[in-house]
Amino acid sequence: MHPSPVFPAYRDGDPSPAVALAARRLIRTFGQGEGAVHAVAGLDLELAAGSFTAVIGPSGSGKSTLLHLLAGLDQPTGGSVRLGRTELNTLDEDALTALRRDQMGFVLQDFSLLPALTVAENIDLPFSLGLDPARRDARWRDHLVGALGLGGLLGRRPGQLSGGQQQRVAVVRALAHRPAVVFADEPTGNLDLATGRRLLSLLRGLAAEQRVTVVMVTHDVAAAALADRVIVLSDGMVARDIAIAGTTSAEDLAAIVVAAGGDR
Amino acid sequence: MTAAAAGPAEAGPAEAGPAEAGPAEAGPAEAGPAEAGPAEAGPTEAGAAKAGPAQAGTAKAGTAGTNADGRRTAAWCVALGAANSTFILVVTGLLEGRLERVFTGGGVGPGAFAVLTLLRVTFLIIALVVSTVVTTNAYGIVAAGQARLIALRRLLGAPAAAERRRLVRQAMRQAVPLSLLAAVVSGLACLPMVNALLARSHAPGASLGDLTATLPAVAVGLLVHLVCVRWAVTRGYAPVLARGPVVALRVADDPGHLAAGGDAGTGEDGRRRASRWVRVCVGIAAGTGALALAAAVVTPYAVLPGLVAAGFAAAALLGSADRVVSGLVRGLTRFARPGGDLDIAGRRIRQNSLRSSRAALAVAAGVCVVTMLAVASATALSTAQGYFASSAGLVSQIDGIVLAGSVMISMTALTSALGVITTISHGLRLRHREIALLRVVGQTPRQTRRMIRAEAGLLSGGGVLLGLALGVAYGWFGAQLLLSKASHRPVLLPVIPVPVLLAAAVAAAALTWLASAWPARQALRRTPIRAYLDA
Repeated sequence: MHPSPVFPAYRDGDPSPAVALAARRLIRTFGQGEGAVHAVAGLDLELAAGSFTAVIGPSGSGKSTLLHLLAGLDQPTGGSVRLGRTELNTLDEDALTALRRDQMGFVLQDFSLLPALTVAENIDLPFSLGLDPARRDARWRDHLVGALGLGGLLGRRPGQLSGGQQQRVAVVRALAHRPAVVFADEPTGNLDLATGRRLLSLLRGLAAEQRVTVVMVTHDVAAAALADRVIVLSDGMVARDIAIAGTTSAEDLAAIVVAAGGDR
Repeated sequence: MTAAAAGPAEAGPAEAGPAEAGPAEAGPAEAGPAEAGPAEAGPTEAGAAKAGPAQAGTAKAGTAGTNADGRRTAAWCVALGAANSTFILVVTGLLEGRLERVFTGGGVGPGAFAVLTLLRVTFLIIALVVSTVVTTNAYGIVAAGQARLIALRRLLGAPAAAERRRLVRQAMRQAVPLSLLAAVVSGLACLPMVNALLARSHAPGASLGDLTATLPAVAVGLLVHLVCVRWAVTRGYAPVLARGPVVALRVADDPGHLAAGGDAGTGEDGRRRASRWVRVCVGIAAGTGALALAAAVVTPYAVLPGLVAAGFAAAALLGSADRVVSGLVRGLTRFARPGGDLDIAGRRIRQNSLRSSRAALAVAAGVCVVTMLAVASATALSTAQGYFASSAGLVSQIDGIVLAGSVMISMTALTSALGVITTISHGLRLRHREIALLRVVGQTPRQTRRMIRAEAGLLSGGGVLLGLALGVAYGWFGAQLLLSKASHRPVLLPVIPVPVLLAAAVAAAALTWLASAWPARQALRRTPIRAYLDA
């Protein structure tokens, strides 16, 4: 229904490689010596282009840290992350930032909006920061705004919105420029059931119809059950890697997650 | 707290409500100083974070760092304020009686006593206003560091009024001995300085006995200073105490939360009350100012109503500083590209207009005092040279006044410099999270630095313009009132010494620039997500 997104990162060589995102021997350690915490402990992962992956696991299993590393928001202590054909750790800060801006979209765990800007301006932020204006697509943006029930709120400021509304604005911002990869940390955390479902089916549609690679961290097994693939993390490692394909129920998934957590 | 003691700042409830003010008093933008949370990590941790490991406990260390910073700044502000008012009172006190020698002028101009009283009161008021603004900022920093703790205490049952009393008591226990110490040091330092000034005009030097004679005045000055400090403390803590505990907690957690949404409701009332006050002040200032100007043709004692007018004008400005600064910034960014660095910087300043206006006010105060003195003396000198046959006496008298004035404003300028540094760097520190967010969404380090520079540039630009305009107006006003009768001219043309003003403007801009460089580096030191999560 909508034209495919552009994937400039993939332009060199294969126009759409099978692997959109790959992590190799990824390590992230906080602290040193006795008190060191290995949030991500030598993890290998490959995510196919156009896949919808849920990362799930007990608190402190390294879900958010993994997401930050994959998105190039944090520097790994060891190992590497590759987006398309680009090794993230070969880039300097400016280039990495530009890559993030052009190729990725994020929904952070809390409402990450600038209070000084209106909703519309917050959504347009990547463009004010230098994103190619050719990528602007008003129809797509309006579609997102409508689908997430934000119509009529564009002129408001974040402070005048509820938590759920703010989170949905952050979602629109993450998707409006048609990024190749979308990262979402607990995107349904502040949403009511119906809105949460709408958001999940939107993400699913992006992956299925537009080959956007979606990575979502969540606590909610019902949300995770809607993904193509569920990665269960435990102690910074992949404990289970489940291809769901709509066959695993939330109850089964919950049992698997609890079992994985019990390994600790 | 008495109205008189608090000085002109008292008159503007927008910036400056009395301590007991209800929730209506807390304008929306006042979320400013509370917007902290654990902001800053020490340089070592920041470096380590970039390198990779060593992160645990950063947030905690950050809180402690901000708080220690704030406390140190507050202590400096209080001490400098006490030293300044003591300095002014002692210098003018010691000069009294020896003035005929210092100012060897003839029978023209007002009596030395009037000049001295004028200098004393004017400079004292300026010093108090500047140090109060700066101290308020400093306590804003302290309050920001404690915002979470205070909010939690209130959530667990400590009433806001009790918390306020506790915090004020805590602050005053530090401020009182510090002020006394600063006053003693400053008072003793005055003696050799004044003696050097007296020796220049071959007058007999002042003794330690003369110094003790200034004690009553100094004591009154210190008392007023401490009242101002107390007011500054309550003002600094107001954002954390004015709202309900849950909101206070949210303010501590999420800086931007109230900045926009709080606009409705509580803010309006306070705003309306504030603008009424400002209108009253403007009216009084205009009335007494006109009276003074009319009287100046007959008597140099017109400076007395003139002083009242100047005081109310300053109060009106303080009361409407956020709107004035917003307007200035809007003007400066009028032709900026929408959505560009300058535009966003301007809007962020206007969004946090109260906090930003304090930074701009600190710049303006410093530029204003220097400009005022420069314009007044240049105007007076040119008048003296142009309209008196034997002007040598008057020129020397004006020279003496300018010298004494320069000495007296030096410390006020220093206070304002401290204010510029603390408010700018503090403001940036409070926005580490916002800056981190921009980086997450795609702002490159270069863009970040450019944005911070744009903001610092706008603030200093606005402050310098405001300071220059005020300084020229006040300087001319003073010269006009003092010399109109003596020179038999109903209107003196203001003389504007461009090099001096340029130097003041450049110094202020450089200071703002420097003050923003360090926090900018700090903000960029860590990876975006670390900066975001720890902020």
